[in-house]
Parts: sequence; C-alpha cells; structure tokens
Amino acid sequence: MSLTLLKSNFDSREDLIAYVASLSPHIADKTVSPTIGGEKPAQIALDAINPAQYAHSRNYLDGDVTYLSPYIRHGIVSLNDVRNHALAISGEPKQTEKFIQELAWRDYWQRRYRQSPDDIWHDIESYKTGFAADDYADTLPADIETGQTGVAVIDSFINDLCTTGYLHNHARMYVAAYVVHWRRIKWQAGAKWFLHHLLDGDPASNNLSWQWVASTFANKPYFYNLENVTKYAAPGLNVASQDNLPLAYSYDELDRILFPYREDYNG
Amino acid sequence: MANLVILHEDALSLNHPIFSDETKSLSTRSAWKQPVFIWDSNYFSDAGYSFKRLVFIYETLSTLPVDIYYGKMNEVIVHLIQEQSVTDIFIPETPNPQLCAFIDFAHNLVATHVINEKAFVSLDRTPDLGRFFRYWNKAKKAALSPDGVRL
Repeated sequence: MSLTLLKSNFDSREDLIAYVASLSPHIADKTVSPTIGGEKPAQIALDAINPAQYAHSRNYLDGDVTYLSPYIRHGIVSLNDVRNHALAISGEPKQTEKFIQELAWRDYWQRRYRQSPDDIWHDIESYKTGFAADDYADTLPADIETGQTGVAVIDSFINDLCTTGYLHNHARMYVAAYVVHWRRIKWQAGAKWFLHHLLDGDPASNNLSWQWVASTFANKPYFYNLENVTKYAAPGLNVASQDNLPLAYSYDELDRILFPYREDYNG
Repeated sequence: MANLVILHEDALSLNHPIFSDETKSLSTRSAWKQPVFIWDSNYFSDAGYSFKRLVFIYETLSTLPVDIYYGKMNEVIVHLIQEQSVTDIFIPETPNPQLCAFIDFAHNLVATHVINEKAFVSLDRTPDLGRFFRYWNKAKKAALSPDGVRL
C-alpha cells in the first residue's frame, strides 16, 4: 500500500464539493449546507455573538442564536474561547450567565460521555411515559425521514434539518418529542437520524438531549402543543390548526392522549 | 526520527494546545512533520455522516496546514510511521470510542501523547453528573470566570 495524499487547495467551493463527492461515491444524497467550514467563518460567528440578546430571544425560532455549534462540535473554536469572548464583550455578567450556562450544557454532556462512553446509545433510565422500551418502534418511518408526516411545522423543521444540517434547539426538541411521543419510536432511531444530518451532531449532546426528551434521562417526558410552537414560531411557519392537528390540543388533553398509562398524571 | 501531530474530527484547530510550546516540550525529538488528518471513509460511514457533514469537515481541513491522507486509519498510521520515521505521535484527547481505539492502536506502535483541550471549568473534584443542575451548581462560579478558573 502506498499513501494517498489528498488535495487541499481549491479554486472554489464548488470544486471542493465535487472533490469530496468523488471521495464519497456511496452517498447518494449530495445535499450541501450553506454553512461553511473553517476557522474564518467560525471567527465571524464568534465576533457576532450577543449574549444579552441571546438570553432574551434564544427560545424563539428566529431568535438571536449564535450558529457556533458546528464549529464548537469539531473543535474549530473551543468552549473556553467562546466563554472568554462572551465575558470580554459583556459589561453585565448577569446578562452573560444564560449564554454561558448553555455552553455549560455541552461541557456537561461531554463529561457524561467521558464517564460512560459505551452507554451513549443505551437508556440511562426507564421511560416515565407509562410505556416500556419495547413499546417503541426500532426504526424511523419514511414519512419522518422525508418530512412528509402531514404535520406542517414538523415537516418544515425536517426540511430545514435535511437541507441545511442545522436546526434551532427548540425545533430539535419539537421534532424529537414528535418522534418519540406522538409516533412512539425509540429515541435511538431519531438520534441516529439527527447525527446523520446535523453539522454539529455529537453523540453526547445529541443522544443525551434525545434521552432528556424521551424521559430516559429526565424525570418526565418533554412534550408541547401547537400553542407553544405558535408562541415561538418564526414568520412564515405554517401554524394553522388544520395543518397541525396532532399538536392542536391542550396540555391536559395531550397528556391523556400521549401517555394514557402514566400513573402520576392519570392515576 | 520525528514527531507527528494527528488531528481528528473533534479538534480541527491550530489553537488546540497540541500546537503549544508545552506540548513540544514533551518530546526530545526536534523535528516535527506536517500535521496529518486521515480521511477514512469507513470511519465516516460508521459514524453515519451525511455528505453535507463531510463537506463541512473537508472545508475546514482545507483551511489548515495539514496533509490529508486517504485510507483506513490503522493502515495509514503504520505507513506514516515507517515513511516519516515517526517516533512520537501527538493526538488531541477525545471521548469518541472509535478514535480512542485508534489511539490505543497507535500506542502499540510508537510513543503516543494524548493532549487535552483547555478545560471549560477547572474543578477540585469530579462533580455529580446525575443531572445538569447538580453539575451547574458546582461549576457555575468557575464557568463565569475567564478560562474557567474560579476567581
């Protein structure tokens, strides 16, 4: 065997994409994200952070989030760099706290991963949904993979995921809860699907967040209703009730529908 | 006789401590080969990465002064060690079991130094990781301080 040195200078992004395609003949879907890799784009994203605005708007789907996650995931910028930069530009430490706490979530997930790396695909605890793990399907149905569930907001989020490799954190929670609780599919199937698409997909943050939604790493399942999505929606998202019927209930109604055997809420 | 830095997908930066003087002082060899990344299609396939993910990683690599070699990680490293007379490998720390297995493989070939990223928080003892807020209650003061060192 002789060593094969690959090319690293390209005239354009298109040339680089074509070259990576030549190295990946087995991948049929050649969709490319608009997010560009490299230290320069990472620095631009870092320079643009606004911790105070982030604290106020981060839950809104068009909120002032940083888009730094792919760069953090691949070590292009470190959590330490981001935190130090946030502290340096913020006059008021209180306004930075929420921002830094979100960085700490990633540190926490990584510590959990280091503690038990081989457990990352296993249920940490049992489901608190009234169902056993065996009650959940092992695989993701095609309508979810292709964003054709018939639930308008979910299909919109899935389309974003598949075309950009990015999804707002709140949208990730909405999709994950839909997959696990509305469709009763094992979190592992959804986590694997997210890891495929997300540029920032990381087994620790991704899988443990799915477990948090599923309730195998939380005291109760995470779920939401259409009213909640509407509150945080970005302009243009179709939140019409008739196009999102499975979500268009009160929390009490959904609790009964999704978790009919959960004793603490229904017993 | 030379040192070789091997980057992997968890640490694609020249700002990683692997490039620090402190790391350089760990080796008695003065020669440093061009850092290397091994583009292992089997590794990416096992990880289940989409094409857009691969483009993002390659795009990042193309901005770094690294040689990108194509092939299986364990095979490429054996050849690199032979061809470049490598005696010491330096590689960023990672929790990824597949990369840890590769590091173990390298350990059996030559001296292999695993270099940690700067910690987000420096804590006296390992915090309770049972739930996030148990960790956060212990880590908060350090996390809100520069370099994660409690003031």
